[in-house]
Amino acid sequence: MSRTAVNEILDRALLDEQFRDAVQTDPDNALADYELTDDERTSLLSRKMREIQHIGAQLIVTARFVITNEQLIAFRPKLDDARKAELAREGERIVAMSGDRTQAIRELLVQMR
Amino acid sequence: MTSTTDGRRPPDIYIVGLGINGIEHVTRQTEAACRRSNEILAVPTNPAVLTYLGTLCPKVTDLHPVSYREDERRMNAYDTMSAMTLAAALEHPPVAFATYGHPYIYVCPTRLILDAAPLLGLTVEVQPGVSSLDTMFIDLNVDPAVDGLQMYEATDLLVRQRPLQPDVPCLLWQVGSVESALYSTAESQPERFYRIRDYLLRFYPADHEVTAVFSAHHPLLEPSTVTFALGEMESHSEDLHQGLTLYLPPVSYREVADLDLLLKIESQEHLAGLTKPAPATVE
Repeated sequence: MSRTAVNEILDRALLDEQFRDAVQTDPDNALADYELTDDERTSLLSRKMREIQHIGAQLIVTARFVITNEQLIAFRPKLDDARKAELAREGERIVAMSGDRTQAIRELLVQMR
Repeated sequence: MTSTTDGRRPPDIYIVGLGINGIEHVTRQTEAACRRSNEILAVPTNPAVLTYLGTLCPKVTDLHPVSYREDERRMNAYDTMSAMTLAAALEHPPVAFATYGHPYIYVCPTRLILDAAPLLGLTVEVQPGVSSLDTMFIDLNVDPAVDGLQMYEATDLLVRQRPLQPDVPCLLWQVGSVESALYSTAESQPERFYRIRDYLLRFYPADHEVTAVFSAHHPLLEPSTVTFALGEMESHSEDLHQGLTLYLPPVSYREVADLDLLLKIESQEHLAGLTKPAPATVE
């Protein structure tokens, strides 16, 4: 139950500016309605990401870019006209499809590399 | 602003950045694009961001859980995000692809969507967002105007053996996920950082203090910075998570090489030689 309270507090503080200010300036009152252990309260008010993560906060940290084998090939040739035409035809085929096109588009993206 | 539209009709896809610190950095331009969209496909840093996006658009799709798979190629995730966005745009344009940060800085799906959209007859508009680069300048107290800036993706640095300039501030992005193109939430072993540490030691001394930085991405958080000697990098493997950037301050400062020019930069006479005279006014 306490773990959920941590995330509820974080969610509310992100969306509600008044609540957020209250957590920082008057935490006793702002957090009065939430069930927190002493450690959770201390970690939450520490403002330190690692401490807050350790008490179960859902904070997403991901890398968003990756070098690929394709990018590492020096002087890789640009697509020739025939290849471009082929990809264009595939694009038209996908547009004309009915139903979910997601997988077909994924395959197109791979073909483009 | 990158746009493939003809400037008259709305694009089929808006690519927007949500900034870094929760929803505090969302621009008015981004909000307007989201309101115009029939669906927002989002990569947020906090689940609550999705709640906020739901106030702008009736349909919000969280791309994170449907894209990333433990130990699989990160490129697979980016292909999925891009394909879902493009498919949605074909079904019910306009849609918005909304990622945290700036959509053109270290975001593979942006490039994938831009490259594939013309093949599907779709138009795209990219809007700028607040990047972690912007927030890191503040967190690190660095002004790139002073000594310039060099920045590289950590794995790319190693694979290409890029030379570094020790007198120029350096940012190494994604150092926590160095040497792997696979998605993983596992904590790194110290050994993971031996190669990059040794590479950096070619340019910097072992006692050079470097800082691992992660800007606050929630308004209740402060920026995360850990400073340590470069030679001890591996012993901080616990702190080096995959979203993190490594900052290497200059180890020396480049001296003035052209004193003659330096003495001229505040000279009005020198400026007159560089600029066109003001047009004569007709009285």
